[in-house]
Amino acid sequence: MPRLTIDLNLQRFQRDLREALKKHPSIKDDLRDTLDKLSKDDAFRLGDRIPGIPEHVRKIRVGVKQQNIGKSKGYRLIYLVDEGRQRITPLCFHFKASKALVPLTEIAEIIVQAFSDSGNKPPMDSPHVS
Amino acid sequence: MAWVESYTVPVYEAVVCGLALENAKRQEQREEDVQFVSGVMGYVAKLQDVFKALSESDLSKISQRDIAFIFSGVTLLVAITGFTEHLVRQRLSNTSDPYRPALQAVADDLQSYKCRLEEIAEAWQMALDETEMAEISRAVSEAKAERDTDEVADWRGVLASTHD
Repeated sequence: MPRLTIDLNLQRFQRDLREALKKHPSIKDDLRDTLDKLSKDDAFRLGDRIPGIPEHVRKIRVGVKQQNIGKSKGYRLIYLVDEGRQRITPLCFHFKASKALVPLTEIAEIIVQAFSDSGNKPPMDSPHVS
Repeated sequence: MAWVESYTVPVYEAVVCGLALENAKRQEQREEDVQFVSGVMGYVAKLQDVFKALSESDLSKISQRDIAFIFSGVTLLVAITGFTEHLVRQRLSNTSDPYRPALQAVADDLQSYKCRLEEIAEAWQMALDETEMAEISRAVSEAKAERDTDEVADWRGVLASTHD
């Protein structure tokens, strides 16, 4: 497998990167490590695909080692994968503490709602005895 | 001799009975361990199916409603996996020898699966965030507009020359 080409020239990404460097100058080293891994044809396996977008867009976490910021509380690198050209284009690079996941009660409501929308009974519904 | 038997036999009958009970308890513990390990292994296998399905499916045309539904499921799995890992670790000290190393390995796997699920959930949560999705869509459009015109410079050089 040939190595992937990485295009770092997108203006939006460059802007994000400059912002990141103001806050965490050492992020360049962490980003270099991540991009190195991605370039070694791991771009399709590393990180996670963001669903609901026609293009192949993925997200990967990048920590800030020098400041002991782990991946979960570090940066999010979002990148476009062009499988045909074997090229990846970083799109955005944000520092973002991990968002708290939605509370379970809210999730249960979503699941019940989804089942009622589709006309199915939710699995937690007790069977009616006539 | 008869006098000796009169107290020896009941003592050893009690010993045999006690050992049988102990043996039954151990047997019960082993069966419980087997059942627990196989239950946890079944859950781990299902998680691997989830990872495979989510990494191999075409997720480009999925509806927002389905994204919300799957995101909810994955978030539940984060919680269940954390709880299961806790259960497994709690049980480790009471688990009989042949099953302990296997269970230890499963606990470590569950810990990494939980992290993996958190990362997946985060990607699906992004897809539900309208502001985030609008920003990503704009960036994709810009990337498409730029990619045909510019020759791609070596990324290491570009990274080295970028300053705040």
